[in-house]
Amino acid sequence: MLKQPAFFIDMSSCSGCKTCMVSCMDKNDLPIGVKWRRVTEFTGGEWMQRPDGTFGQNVFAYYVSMSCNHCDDPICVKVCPTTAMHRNEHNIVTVDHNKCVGCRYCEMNCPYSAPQFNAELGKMTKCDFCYDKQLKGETPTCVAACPMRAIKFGEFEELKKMYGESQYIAPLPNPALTKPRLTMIPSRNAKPGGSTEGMQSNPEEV
Amino acid sequence: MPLLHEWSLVLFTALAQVAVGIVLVGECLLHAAQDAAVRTNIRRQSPIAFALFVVAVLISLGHTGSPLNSFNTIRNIGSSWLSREIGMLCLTGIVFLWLAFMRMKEQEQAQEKTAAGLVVVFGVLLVVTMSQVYRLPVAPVWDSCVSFLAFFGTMFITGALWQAVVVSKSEDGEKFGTLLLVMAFVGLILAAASAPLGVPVVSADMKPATVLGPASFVASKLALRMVLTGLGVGILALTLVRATQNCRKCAYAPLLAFILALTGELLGRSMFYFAYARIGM
Repeated sequence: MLKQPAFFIDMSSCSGCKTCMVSCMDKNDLPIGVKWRRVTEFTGGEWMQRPDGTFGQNVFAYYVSMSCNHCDDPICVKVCPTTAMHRNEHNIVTVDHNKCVGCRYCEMNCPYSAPQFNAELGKMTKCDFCYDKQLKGETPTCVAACPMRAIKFGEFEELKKMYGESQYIAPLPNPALTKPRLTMIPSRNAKPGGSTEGMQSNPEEV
Repeated sequence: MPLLHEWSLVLFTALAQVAVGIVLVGECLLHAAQDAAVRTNIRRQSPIAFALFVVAVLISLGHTGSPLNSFNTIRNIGSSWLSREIGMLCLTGIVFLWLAFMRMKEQEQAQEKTAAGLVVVFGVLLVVTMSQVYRLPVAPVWDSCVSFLAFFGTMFITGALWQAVVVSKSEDGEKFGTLLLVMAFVGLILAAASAPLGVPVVSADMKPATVLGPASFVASKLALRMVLTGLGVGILALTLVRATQNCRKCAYAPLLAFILALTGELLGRSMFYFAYARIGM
């Protein structure tokens, strides 16, 4: 088992097919509306007049696959009134259902929408990094399912050496907020964090 | 937009603040009141305010998925403002119960002042912790003094108008008029200062504008809220002027003022929750 498990996302390879999202829902038997992994589409662009009077466009779109980043400074753990949200012995942020009151305050605070309310259980649920599979030496479901091999996982320090620190790109929040254990290769179209050049499209899909 | 967005939180926060406001304003009036009948009337409001407080707490459970786990909610007082709020709710509830028991008796009790003082102090601290619960760095509209201003505004306005209904029945009720009006105006100023802060500013790393609704829609509802609350305080002021002229038609005016102001505050609170927009995904 890894000491500090972390995700790596290659946004330049992600095609937005949502296989990671669907495989996660299937593996964890999640009800409709509860998504531990989501793929968001960030789009923008407009018509632009060229010097010769003709028009062109600068339309762009890219995908961001996101689940819980098991942050180094997890805001959900800090704000949870019951201490149900905690970091377990494998350094994975998870929910103790014996304590959770289902108040949804963690959901209100997490800028990655990682904690998801399961109305059937009346409790919060979230990505547990498939630690049942990891304990058996297997790969997390989303990593195994990705047809583009855009999601990887590994030891955070090693991933950081290979790909650098988490970056502040739209529509992700500033990593200084929660210190996510996330490394990435941004899309070539990626806009800087807080950019007003685009917006999250098709919200009904995620 | 539903009539009461996040209805359980709207009713819980507003009713708890009304209950604290009734005791806070009531204690100020008791300090000045000499007439036995007036004092009895004001004392009788404490058990009613406690009942309102209990109703507010029960309604708050409507926001939880597993209310049976509620006893766990004071485990994280060290770092969670929500846990601190629930802790203050428990402390306030205990002293409130003590005060309500004493004030159900006809004779004034020796320890009443201590109990009332504790309810006021814990109650004000409760409203402070309630405000802090919504001061989230990930929600720019809330990450300001908007909750503090709005919550204290509700407490002063509704507390003053409730007690205006109570003392207006007494012969010399108008002598408290200035005190009640000052408190109601302080509340109105706080509420008015909070209103523009509650208008969401939609940026790219928030939810799309279609989720929030246009800012003009939010602004019009906030304006309606201020009109209702302002009418409530205005009617109180008018009643006090007319009272000096022995106006019999003014008998129900304080009640109307309270209902208008409470409606305005509930609408404002609903808009407060509606304005929630978080950065990120």
